[in-house]
Amino acid sequence: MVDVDDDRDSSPLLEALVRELRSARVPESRAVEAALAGLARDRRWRRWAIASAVVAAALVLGLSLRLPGRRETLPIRFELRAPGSRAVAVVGDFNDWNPAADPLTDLDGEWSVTLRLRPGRYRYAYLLDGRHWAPDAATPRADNDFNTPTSVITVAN
Amino acid sequence: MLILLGAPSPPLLGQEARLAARLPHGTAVEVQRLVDSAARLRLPTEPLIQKALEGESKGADSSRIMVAVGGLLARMDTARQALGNEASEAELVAGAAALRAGADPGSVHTLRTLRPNRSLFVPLSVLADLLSDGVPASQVWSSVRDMASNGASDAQFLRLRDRLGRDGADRPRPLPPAPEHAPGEASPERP
Repeated sequence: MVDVDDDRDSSPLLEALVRELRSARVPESRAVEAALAGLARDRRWRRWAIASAVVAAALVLGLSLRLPGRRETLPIRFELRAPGSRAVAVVGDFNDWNPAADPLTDLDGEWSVTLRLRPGRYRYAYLLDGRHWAPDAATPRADNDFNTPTSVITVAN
Repeated sequence: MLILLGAPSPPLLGQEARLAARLPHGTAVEVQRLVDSAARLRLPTEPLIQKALEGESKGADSSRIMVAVGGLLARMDTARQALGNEASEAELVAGAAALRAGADPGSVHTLRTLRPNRSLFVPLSVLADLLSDGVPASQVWSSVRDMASNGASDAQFLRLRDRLGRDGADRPRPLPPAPEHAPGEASPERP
């Protein structure tokens, strides 16, 4: 067998022939060709399925965002004048009545916080120094189930 | 591929973790039963959970929590009878609040007939707020009913609440007390 890498005996024709043989595609069987064609189709189908799912998901997300009140939140500012308090929190239906969830910030005795709430009706109250419940003078009073002052706010679009 | 938007979610039966974490075990079990009942009836469950959490946060005893949660469940059921099975969760919550404040189911139903294709969430909230503020029921009802029949917007209902509410400019003011008079003297006419 001629070793074309051996420069001593190669000829231009032989080199060209070897180059041609080395670059030629290896012939494949029909089964392999069919499998490769099927894989190509499968890949195209997969790309189409993924693209369809992405489009459908985008459509659902877009529609859900457009449905009135489904996802939109509105900024709601809670304010209370309590100059003698060390800590004030707003506690209500929007934070599972968790006194630690939404503390207000003090500015010379004016306490405030802004929360983003979805449209709805929320009962709430202020908790001063972890002990005293106070209503919100700016909003209507809510029914009193637990013998403490409670306010209610209606958040609407 | 069919996408169902706004389809009612299946009822959630079982244990609500927030109740178990915050309430005494026995209370949590009883409240959970009410929540499960609401779910089976396709009534909102979150307001019931929040009512229980409110009670816990305010240090209420178990019996008081149960009365509050059970009362809310009953009022939401009554509100749905008045508003129809298609009432939204927001409408049921506002309707329950209106009933709690003293509105009667017939009035709630009348609002539905006057505003059949628009949400009653804001009108019912305004009705509840004004009744809770002590505005005379007849004045509240006539105003809300007339606005509903005239196609008033939600913003107009909210302005009505601002006008008639606790500090509203149009709120009816109580009569001043009659001046005191000495025994035997005729009392002066009340202004």
